[in-house]
Amino acid sequence: MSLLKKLTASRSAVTDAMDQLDVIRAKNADIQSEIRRLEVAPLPVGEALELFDNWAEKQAEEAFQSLRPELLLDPGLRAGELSLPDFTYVLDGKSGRAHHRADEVLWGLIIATALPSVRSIVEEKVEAAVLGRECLSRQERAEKIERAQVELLEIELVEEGIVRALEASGLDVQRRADADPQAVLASDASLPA
Amino acid sequence: MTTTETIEFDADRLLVLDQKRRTARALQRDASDHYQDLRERREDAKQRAGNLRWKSEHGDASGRHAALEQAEEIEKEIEKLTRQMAEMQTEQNTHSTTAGKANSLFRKCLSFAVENGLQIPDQLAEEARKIAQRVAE
Repeated sequence: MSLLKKLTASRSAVTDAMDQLDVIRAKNADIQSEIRRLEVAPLPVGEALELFDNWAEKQAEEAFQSLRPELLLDPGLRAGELSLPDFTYVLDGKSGRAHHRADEVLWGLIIATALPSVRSIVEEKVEAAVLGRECLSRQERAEKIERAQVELLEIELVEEGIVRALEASGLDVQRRADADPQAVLASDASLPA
Repeated sequence: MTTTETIEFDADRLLVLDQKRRTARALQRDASDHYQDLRERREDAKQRAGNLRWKSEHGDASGRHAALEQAEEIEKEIEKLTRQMAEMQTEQNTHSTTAGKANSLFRKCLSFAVENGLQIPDQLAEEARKIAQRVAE
């Protein structure tokens, strides 16, 4: 092969490799964005409501515990002594009464007495918040993210292979700052042919 | 399926990354020196142009015209130097970004190598030791 033909062939190989690099980097960005999407994909409505049910049950239980209904059995108790729990705070040397705890107790009592209605409203709101997005259970999410990460690593290895080929041809190619060290430090033998 | 377990690592690859960051830093320094040089030349030219402008207005009548012509010539040079400085500033920023990225990747890979117990090349042992110390803390 003449020198000119060799040069032309080599130039074309470099151009091809640069094109491939662009494609691979775009693919890499797509997978990373897919992983980010999977990480924040909403839970299925059923699982979300399960969380709500557990929380609501706990709130209701704690509300009654705070009220200490057994005190009503105390023959010495006067009606005026019954009150919602609260606590005092000290701010800038002044003390005051805060009612956060009382708010929680009230909320717990509301849930305890009207759970089906509250749950139905919560369900409606949760369904509306899905906004047509794909819902993923914890297990589905973990599996999909793991698959995407494997694919990402394969893509990173291909990219590193192209970068090394270009470097070998004398071209100075910059690696991405967020390149995966597993690919960057892989031995030549571990890169795809 | 490719996983971390199926990849064989070669810590000598760190030397390539180290070289890249050094090259990027050197280019950044060159650009910075070049910018500084242009700035000094521009300051000098401004001084000379100022003197000639003064001569063209207050100097000997015989030399005023020549002084004006020289001042205008130098002012053109100042414009040219200003443009070059702007270009050099852009180049400097590019090299600075490249150097930053190269350094960041190098350090990330060195940390990975340290954390995974790879045999670090002697030239990088000191830096690796510092990283290992930070990880231990």
